[in-house]
Amino acid sequence: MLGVLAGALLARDDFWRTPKVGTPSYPYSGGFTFARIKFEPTEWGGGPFMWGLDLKWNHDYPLAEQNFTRIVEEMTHIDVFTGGGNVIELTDPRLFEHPWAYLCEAGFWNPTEEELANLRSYLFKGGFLVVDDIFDRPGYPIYWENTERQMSRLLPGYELVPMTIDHPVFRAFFPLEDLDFDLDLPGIYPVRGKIYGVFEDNDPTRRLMVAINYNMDIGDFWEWSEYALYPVDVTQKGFKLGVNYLIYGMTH
Amino acid sequence: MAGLFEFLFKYRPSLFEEGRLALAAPGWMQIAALVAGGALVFAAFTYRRMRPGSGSRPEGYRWLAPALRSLAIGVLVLCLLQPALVLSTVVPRESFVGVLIDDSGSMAMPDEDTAGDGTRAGAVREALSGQPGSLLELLAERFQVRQLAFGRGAERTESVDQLRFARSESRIGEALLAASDELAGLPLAGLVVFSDGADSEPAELGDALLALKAAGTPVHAVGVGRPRLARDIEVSRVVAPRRVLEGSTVEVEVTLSQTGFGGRSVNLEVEDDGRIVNVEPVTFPRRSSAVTARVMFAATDEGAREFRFRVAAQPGEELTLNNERTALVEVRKRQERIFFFEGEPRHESRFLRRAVQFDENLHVVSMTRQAANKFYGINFDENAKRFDGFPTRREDLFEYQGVILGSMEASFFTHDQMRMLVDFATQRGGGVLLLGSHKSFSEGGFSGTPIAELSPLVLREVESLSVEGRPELIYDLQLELTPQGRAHPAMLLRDDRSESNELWPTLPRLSAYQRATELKAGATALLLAETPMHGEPLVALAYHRIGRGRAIAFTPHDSWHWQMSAEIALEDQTHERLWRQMLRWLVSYVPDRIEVETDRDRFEPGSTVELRALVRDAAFREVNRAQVTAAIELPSGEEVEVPLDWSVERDGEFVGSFVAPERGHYRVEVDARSEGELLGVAASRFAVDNLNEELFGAARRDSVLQRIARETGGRQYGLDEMDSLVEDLSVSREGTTVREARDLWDMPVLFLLLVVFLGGEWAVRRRLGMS
Repeated sequence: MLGVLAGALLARDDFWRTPKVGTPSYPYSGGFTFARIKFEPTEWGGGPFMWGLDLKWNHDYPLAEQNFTRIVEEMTHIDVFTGGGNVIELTDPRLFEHPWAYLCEAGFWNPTEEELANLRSYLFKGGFLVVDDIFDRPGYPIYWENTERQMSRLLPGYELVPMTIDHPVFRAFFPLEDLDFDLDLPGIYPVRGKIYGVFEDNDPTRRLMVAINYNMDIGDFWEWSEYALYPVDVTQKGFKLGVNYLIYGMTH
Repeated sequence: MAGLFEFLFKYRPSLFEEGRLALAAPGWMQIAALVAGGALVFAAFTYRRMRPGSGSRPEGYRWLAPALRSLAIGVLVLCLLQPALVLSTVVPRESFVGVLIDDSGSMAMPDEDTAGDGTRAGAVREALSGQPGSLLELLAERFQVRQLAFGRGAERTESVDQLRFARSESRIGEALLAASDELAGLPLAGLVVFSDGADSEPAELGDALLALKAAGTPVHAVGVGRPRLARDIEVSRVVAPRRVLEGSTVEVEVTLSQTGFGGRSVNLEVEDDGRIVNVEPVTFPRRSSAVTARVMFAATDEGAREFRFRVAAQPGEELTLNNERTALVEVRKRQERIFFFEGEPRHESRFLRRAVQFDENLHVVSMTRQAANKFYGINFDENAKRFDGFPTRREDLFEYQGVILGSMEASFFTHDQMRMLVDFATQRGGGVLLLGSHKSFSEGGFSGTPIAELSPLVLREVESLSVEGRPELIYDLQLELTPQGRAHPAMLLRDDRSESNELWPTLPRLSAYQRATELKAGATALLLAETPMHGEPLVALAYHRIGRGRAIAFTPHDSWHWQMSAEIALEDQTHERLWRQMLRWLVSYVPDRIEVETDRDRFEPGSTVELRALVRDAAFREVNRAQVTAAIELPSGEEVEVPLDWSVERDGEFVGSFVAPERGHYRVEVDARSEGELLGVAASRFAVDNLNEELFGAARRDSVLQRIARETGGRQYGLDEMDSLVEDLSVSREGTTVREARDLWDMPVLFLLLVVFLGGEWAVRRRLGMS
């Protein structure tokens, strides 16, 4: 009898899927509301994230967006919702109500074709996507390779262009002096941050559609800013880059 | 009626108007008075003695019979005094009459009611043939006749047979003056104009009539042709913009007139260089002769374009040459500049700019407030003056054709800046687009400010903002076109108008902070918004003219959903098209600093073209002290320079003229300088061609003929009234005249009165039993 029940449970499609996590949904406010992309990760497990579930897309949720939006409200004139943000699946039509979106842990991202088609349409219509929190051990770029693979599925033929400081996005609000996001923290392997961009019509003089932070996690900087986990200057830079992404996404 | 008058009074009313009444035998007055007095006394005596046979009649009734007898005696006495009509009549063959014959093409029109060969010209030929009984012969018996043919100007002609009736114009005013000059110094009894009333230059007629009236020359008009064609369609009027941006939707108002086609539908075709660009079905109303159709089409090719508006010839139509008109439209390829001032980074402004980014004719420069006193400019070109925030100098703002005001609260602006924005519309003639947001209109504190003057919406003080100092967001706005919106080119989301109208209700719903329901007087709403959150529909899009410019209010704050929404297909261009059209509309017809215009877009060869230039400085203040020269490029490539002078009547207006000698397209370029410094240049175009204006309104125009006659003391006649014409000319006060008295004692009306009075007396006597 138990065997039958166990078999029935295992046969359920959703048994193998990510556990459901309750996230509040904020109605359309007319202003800017942070949108985090939810996806089915290639692997998940326990960890320090929400309720002990490491679902990848939920890293730094919801503190990162709460802190970030407060800074945006404080520093800029953007009409921003500061209560947090919405968590949206790529198949959800509400995605198109948020022309600026954030996706983290793309190393674990393996979207379906339907999700890709929606996101492609979103970007071509004018949406802006920030991809964050992709870390590899030096010499083992497996998560980067996954990101590249998924991006080539998303936008076939589009290049991931290494960004340089002279791009307007880096002075959209805060003029950044450099793109040095290197971290050498005790007990963790050194990381060398790099930013890539995907441009409209594959033309670097045109609109930046996707900004990819590799070996960087600005969401982490936002989340842990109040605990001073990271050095102040790096934390500040993380906020500055985030605000620049947002201002750029809302003006270009 | 005139015939009855003539029967009773012997002569036509016109002779009584010309002459004066007199008594030919005043010496008989005393005798007549004695006879009349005696007769009256006798009558009174007779009736006093007589008593009525019946007492049932009232007392006063017995005096009726003597009164009637007295009146009869009065009539007889009047006859004894020999009343007469004294007239000035011309001395035979000593006075002159000028006969002006319309030699234009409209006279060659077939006309069922006319004699001769069935054309208007045939009827004139018959009247002036000189055959026995013809007008010319009647005139020649009494006058020296000078015949003049006219089209533009008038020349002597010996015989009507020499005329071809093929001139492309008939300028009646010019012809009358030319005839007056030709016959100056001669004893002129009057002028006679044979015409259908088609006048190519109505503006000239008034001056000519004034001159003839001053000279005391009566002009008699002989109307040729029917006052109404039985079956005809004509393109009566075309109102088209003189200049449009390349790729714009051109809206043209075409008035079609008809007789005999009421209730019928026809197709109005628009042709651009041999290519049909639109076909608009038009149905004529049954009870009205004219209908106005709005046609819209895209102006795709740069340059001076001749758009033809045509209705195909209909079965049974009498005149088909008036089924087409042409409008010259200059399709410009240039970038109109728009300054977009935005108070916060937001999706609406970003998507709006994105929608027009590939429009080569629009250059949107944006200044966005990112933080307090931190502005971010996009698209400023190298030469443009850069400024932080909103300009403080008129010159900086007025270099743009349009301004978009985004989410910026009133307290940001100084009063002078707001005043300057109002002046931008009213004085500079620019277009201002006010966008909805939580900081716009009343919600942004603009009520009572100069911006409230600018707004087409009535801005009332907002009593309380609902949520944390913010206005409440109104969701689920379904936008609906008003009747004016359905006809407006900026609202056309698809090439096919009905397809476009059907699309509007299917668009994703929007939201807004503005509870706008009140329009200013003179403002027009194009879009209304229905929402379950608000009882009456809100105004979503409205505009009005303000001074020389235009102000538009768009209250929803998230039209970007029409680009981003999941319901909208990726390739859908609705959002792009709407904003491209809206911004082109915003800057359409915005004046330049220097402008040059001709009074019309098309002229006849040999016409005088009046040029008018307006000259203003960078702040759009009119400049009177300027050297303004027009360089006119003829179709042959030759260039003519015409200096323009200040008109004195209006500040900044410079005028000049030149005669256009040849057919084709002309280009005028005006160069304005002040103290040697170039203020600017402007260009315009016009066309010269045979316009055949008189084929439009081709029926006899009695109003023109009556005006000619009325204002000069003449009369209008039909072709069957030639005897009257000759008689009226004969009693003219002009020319060499003598006085002539015509008896009136034998007028039938006097005899009739006598019979009535005496018969009446007899009847009364019978009733009273006195006979």
